[in-house]
Amino acid sequence: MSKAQSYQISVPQEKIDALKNKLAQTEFPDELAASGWDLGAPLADVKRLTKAWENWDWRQAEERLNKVPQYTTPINVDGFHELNIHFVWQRSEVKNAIPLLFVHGWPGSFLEVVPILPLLAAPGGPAFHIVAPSLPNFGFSSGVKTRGFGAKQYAETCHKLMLSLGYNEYVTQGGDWGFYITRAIGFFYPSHCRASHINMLRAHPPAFFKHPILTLQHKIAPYTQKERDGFARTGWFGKEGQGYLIEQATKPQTLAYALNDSPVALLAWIYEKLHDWTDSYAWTDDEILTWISIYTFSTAGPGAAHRIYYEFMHPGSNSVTREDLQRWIPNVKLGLAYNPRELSVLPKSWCRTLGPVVFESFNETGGHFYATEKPSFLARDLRTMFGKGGGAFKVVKGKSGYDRTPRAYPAKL
Amino acid sequence: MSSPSPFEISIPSSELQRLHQKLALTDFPDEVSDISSNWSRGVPLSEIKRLIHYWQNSFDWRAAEARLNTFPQFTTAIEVEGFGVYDVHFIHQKSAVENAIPLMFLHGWPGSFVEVTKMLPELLKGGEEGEGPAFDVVAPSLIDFGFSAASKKESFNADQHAEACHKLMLSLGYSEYVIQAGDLGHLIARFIALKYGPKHCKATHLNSALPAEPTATSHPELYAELEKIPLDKAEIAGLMRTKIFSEEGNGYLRIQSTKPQTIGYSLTDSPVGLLAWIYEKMHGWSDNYPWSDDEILTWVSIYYFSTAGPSASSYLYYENEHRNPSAFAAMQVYINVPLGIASFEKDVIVLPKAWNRTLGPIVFESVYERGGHFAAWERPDAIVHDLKGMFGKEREGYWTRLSNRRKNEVDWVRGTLS
Repeated sequence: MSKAQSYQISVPQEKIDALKNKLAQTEFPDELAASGWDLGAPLADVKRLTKAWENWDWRQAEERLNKVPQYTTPINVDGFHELNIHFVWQRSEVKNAIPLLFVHGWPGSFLEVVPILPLLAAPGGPAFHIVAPSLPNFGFSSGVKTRGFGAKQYAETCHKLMLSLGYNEYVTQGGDWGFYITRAIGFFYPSHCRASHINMLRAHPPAFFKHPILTLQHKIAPYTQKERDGFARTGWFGKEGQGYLIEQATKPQTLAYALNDSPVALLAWIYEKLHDWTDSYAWTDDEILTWISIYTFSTAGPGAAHRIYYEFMHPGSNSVTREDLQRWIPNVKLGLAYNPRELSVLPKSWCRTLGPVVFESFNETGGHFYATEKPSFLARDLRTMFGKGGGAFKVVKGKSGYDRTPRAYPAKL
Repeated sequence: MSSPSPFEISIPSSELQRLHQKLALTDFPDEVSDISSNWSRGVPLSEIKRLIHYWQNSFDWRAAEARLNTFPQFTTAIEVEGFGVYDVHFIHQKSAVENAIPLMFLHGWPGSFVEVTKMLPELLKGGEEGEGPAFDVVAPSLIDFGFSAASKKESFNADQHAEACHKLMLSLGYSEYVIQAGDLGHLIARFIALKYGPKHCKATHLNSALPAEPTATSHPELYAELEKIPLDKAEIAGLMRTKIFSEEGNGYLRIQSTKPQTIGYSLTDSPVGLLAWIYEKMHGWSDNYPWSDDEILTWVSIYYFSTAGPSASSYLYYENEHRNPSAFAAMQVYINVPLGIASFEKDVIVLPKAWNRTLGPIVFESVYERGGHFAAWERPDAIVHDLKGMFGKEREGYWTRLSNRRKNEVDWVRGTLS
């Protein structure tokens, strides 16, 4: 029996007032002349956004978010205290709708699912029951008070959430941490997680003994121009874009002091990624400030979310490593979305080593925040992959995405 | 050339007030409750809370300022080619001893000009029998640090810092000089030696050497020699420390060398953010040094109240990495200027001593069991000992010979361990 309770976001007024008070007292650094985005988030942008945030109406954003059906439910993860998990839950009228778990990443949140909700509910494709949690330490889910909450625990949280809602078998969609967590779910719960669609693809080159055919294909066919561009993009991220990750994965507590204490610190830290990681996506101020405010007003506080980096990079002995999740996982059917401005843009021959691939989409445009930048592409991917004739059609027992409808045969004359 | 103007640090009360307003509004994060190694994820919450409380209620910046102002400080205008004229702040103290050796001390990050002050009394003394040489000491704030001007422009690199420091010495009438440095200062010292040695920069003493590993192709003779000698225990321990630094301790470097502006907002707007960022390294890089709260907050305040602002101190990291070749790679060449190298076992990057021979003619070498990265602060006795030894009379007027140096003349002196 589900213990899920209806939930509406309601940030206490003191928090909003305190934020505005701090914003009004922001001290800005200087900037090197004409440096643009070279050294990080430009001063003019950050000043403008700081002022905008000071005058911005959180309540209208809150109201908009609250139009989306949200719930909370208690989840017990082995070895940890009980966590209150916040999630979006859009149920379909179609009885045989496919349970779909959507897992966000950093610096994203549950709200990334919102653009695809109406698209997946539209007629003409398989129906889904959509569950999009705030991960523990993010959004409006509990913070985790003790150490060691890593890949296994995030997977367990999400899996138990689905079970608690009556979904014994389900499929997943994820990018960024959603990639790693949905992979971990497939790793630990292969008889429950039947298929995964992923949009940030981390994989290794095929090795002969494991993937003889892929290896030969890899050796025979030269990389395409797109794949070479992908290496350049991946290389750029490794050289210029990973500082945040290394700091978060090694000294998360040191970083937490600034992110928790200074709204502009958090703003710059996140806004830089919204710019760098997308394919010329035209963020509105409303979007930017909503994304960042979810961190500011999160239950665990803005200093907690990035602990996930530390925990994943320092896995305990009985957990799973990042490398495990970047290698073949059997039994979970895979859908891969290739986006040219993603952070890791690797050749098909590499990505196909992740598991049994039943769907691929090769997009001409789009970056890291797939659901935000290209909701129609993502909806198309899911409806094709799981719809009639798709590679993962009927992958969940008894949940085809379609109720029985009379077959539309022409009447016999 | 205009002469230097005397300088006293005098932070406006309005800035002190603003700081205190911010301290009063500090919002603390929580922390995971059960970590076995308290510092493993960064500065522990209890330490930060204690220090913020002290900063707010007990730390007396005016007293710290007065203490700093007991050292004779100046500013002078230095032109850097292609960039402009910069006000450089520095300590300058002349020895009473005639023919004292001009010595420039170059600080690093997160240090400052203050790091020279423990050594000053001993360095100024000397000249008598058995006392070792005396020095005239110049210790600037690097541009973008302390009370020197901001660079304001992209591409202000180690080359430009070297030029500014060299010109500072010339402007004080020191056509010939020696340098002691560690951390970023050591990088700049190498560039000074490269561009202005041995004519002006006669020798450098470094306490954080970063030689490249000799390979069969880069240094075939040295490589062949090293293949026959196993690394000793201390060198293996040093490599392990280096490994830990590269895996767990260089996040600050990766951020500062790629997105200095982004982290700059944190360091400027949040005193607790700046405190944690700096104090983590003061603690992590030193060898059980008993930092007092006053020391910690003085060091952090020098960044907080710096002329260029705390964000600017990251620029040199960015410029180093985006130089082609990178500044670190560029200074790993053999520079034919006499070199003294002190190795402290508890430093963060500790490489095998033999690798240092790729850097230049080593005329002085020392290894210390006690002491870490902030050598001049943790072990002023060791650095003073090295400088007196490297340039002392016991070496048969080495300094005099250096001044009239013939090429290819190399002496080898092994310092004593302590």
